[in-house]
Amino acid sequence: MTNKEFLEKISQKTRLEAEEAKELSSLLIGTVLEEIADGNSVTIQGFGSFEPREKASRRIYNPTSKTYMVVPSKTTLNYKMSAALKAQLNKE
Amino acid sequence: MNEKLSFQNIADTLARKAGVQKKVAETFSKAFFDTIVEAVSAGDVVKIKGLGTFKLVEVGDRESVNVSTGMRFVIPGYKKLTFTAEDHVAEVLNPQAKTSVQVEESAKVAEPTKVAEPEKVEVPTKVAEPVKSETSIEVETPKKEEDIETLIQVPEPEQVETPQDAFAGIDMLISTPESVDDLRQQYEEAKAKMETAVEEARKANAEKMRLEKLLERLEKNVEPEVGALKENTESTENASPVETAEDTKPVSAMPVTAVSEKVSPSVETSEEEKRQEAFNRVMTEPSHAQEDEVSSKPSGNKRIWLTILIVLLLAVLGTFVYLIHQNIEAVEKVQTTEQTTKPTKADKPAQPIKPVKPIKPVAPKADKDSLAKAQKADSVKVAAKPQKDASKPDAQKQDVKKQDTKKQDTKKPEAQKPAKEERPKTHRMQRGESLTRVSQKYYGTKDSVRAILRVNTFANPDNIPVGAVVKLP
Repeated sequence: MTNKEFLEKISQKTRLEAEEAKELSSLLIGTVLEEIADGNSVTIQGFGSFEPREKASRRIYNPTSKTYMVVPSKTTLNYKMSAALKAQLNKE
Repeated sequence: MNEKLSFQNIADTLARKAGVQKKVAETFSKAFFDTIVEAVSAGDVVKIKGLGTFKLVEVGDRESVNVSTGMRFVIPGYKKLTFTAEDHVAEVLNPQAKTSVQVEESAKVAEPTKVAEPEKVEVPTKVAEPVKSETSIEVETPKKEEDIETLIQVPEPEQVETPQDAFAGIDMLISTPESVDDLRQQYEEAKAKMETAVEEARKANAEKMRLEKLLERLEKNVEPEVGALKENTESTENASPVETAEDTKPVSAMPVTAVSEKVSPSVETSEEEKRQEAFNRVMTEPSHAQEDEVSSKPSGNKRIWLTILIVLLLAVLGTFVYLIHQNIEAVEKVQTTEQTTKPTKADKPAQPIKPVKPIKPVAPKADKDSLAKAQKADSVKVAAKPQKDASKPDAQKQDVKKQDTKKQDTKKPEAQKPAKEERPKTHRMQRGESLTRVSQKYYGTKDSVRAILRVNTFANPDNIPVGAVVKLP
C-alpha cells in the first residue's frame, strides 16, 4: 500500500478532504518524530510504541584500504507492537 | 526527556498544530493507526511517507530450554508487525550529523600512534651519540673550544627543533583526529620534516668526521683539559634545562626519557644511532645524563680512544646503514605483504623504523659490548611495539608451522581412538559417573559433553539417575 492509497483510505474513514488528510498525516508524523527526537517515547494503545534507541559509536575496519573508521553514535527509531496487536494478528 | 507519551498527548499536540478541533485530530489519528493495522492484517505492506514501512513478518517456531529444569520446549511461531524507518527519520533524530556517511571519522589513531611510538622509543638510544662526541671534542680542544662549539652547536639545535615540529604534528594526529584528510596531510608533513631531519643528521655526521681529525691533532693536549671538559659538561647541563623544558610533549617524553636513561650508560649503543641524531630531539635530557657518566669516567686517554673509535665506527656505519636501509626497504615490502595478519602495523611505521633495523645487525660487528647493550635497547624497543615482528617473519612462520604440526598431532590420536574402540551406541550410567567421565571414556576428551547433551534430554544433566541410558552420538 503506497502513501497515496493509505491517505485515501483515511480520508474515506474520517470523511476528510484528501488534502486535509495529507496535511494532518504529515503533521502527525511530525509531532511523533519531534517527541522521539526529544527523547520521549510514544505509545499508541492497541498499536504499539515508538521509542528512540541510542546506538553506540563503533569502530569498523575497511580491509581494502586497511584503515579504521569510527561510526559515530546515533539515535534510531524503534517500533514495538503492542501485546494487544500481537494477539489480534495471531488470532486464528 | 524520557517521558512516555500516550495517544492522547499526540492527538492534542496535533490539534494545536493543525488548528483543528481535538475531536478531529483524535479521529484522524485513530484512523491513521487503524488503517495501518487493517492493511497489514490483509497481508499488505504499508509505506508511509516521512515515517517508514510497516510490514508483517512471520516468526517461526523455535526451541528453547527451561533454564531451571533443563527441559526443552517449543516457542510457537507468530506474526509480528515490524517497522523500518525512512532515512528521513534518521536525519530528524540526528540533526548534528546530517550526512551519516561522511561522518565516519578516520580513527587512524591506531596507525599514527604506532608510527609515533616506535620513533620515540628508538630515539633515546640514538641520542647518546652526538652529545658524547661533543663532550669528547670539547675535552680535547679547550683552546679551540669556541670554534668547535659553534661547529657542534650549529647542527644540534636544528636537529632538536625540527623533530619537535614533526612530533608536534604526530601528537596532533593522535590527540585530535578531525578528518581523514587532515590527518593524512599532517602525517605527510611530519614525515617530510623527519626526512629533512635525517639529511641534517647526515650533514652533522660529515662535520663529526672533520672534528675527529681535529681531535687527533689535539690528542696530546688532552691531559690538562680534563678539568676543562668537566666545566664544559657542566655548562651544557646548565644550558640544557631550557631545552628539556621544551620537551614537555606529554605522551612520549616521560617514557622516552626513562628508556633513554637505561640505554645511555652504554657508550657503544650510541654508535648505532648516530645516523639518526635527527630523531633525537626529545632526548636532550637523557643525553646530559650520559655526559655525567662520561665525565665521571677516570682516564682522559681511554675516553679519547673510545671517542675516536666511536666516530670511526659511526662513519662506517652511517654509509653501511644507509645502503642496507635501502635494501631492507625492498625486502620489507615483500614481507609485509606476506603478513596479512598485521598489515597496518607493518605498513605505516615501516619508513621511520627501518633505519633502526639495519643497525642492529651491524652493531655487533663493531663492538661486543655494544652488542650486549644494543640488545638491551632492542628489548626495550620491542616491548614498546610489535614492529619487530615485521622484521622477523621467518620466526613467526616457524611458530605457525609448529602450531600446525601440533594440531595435526592432536587430531590424529582423536581420530584413531574411536575407530579402534568401536564404541557402543548407548551407555548405562553407573554410580558416581558423570557425563564428563562418559565423554572422557568414549571420546577421549571432555569436550564431547556438549555433543552428548545434544542427543539426550536430561531433566538435570548434573544429576543423572543411576542406570539411566545415555545415547552416544
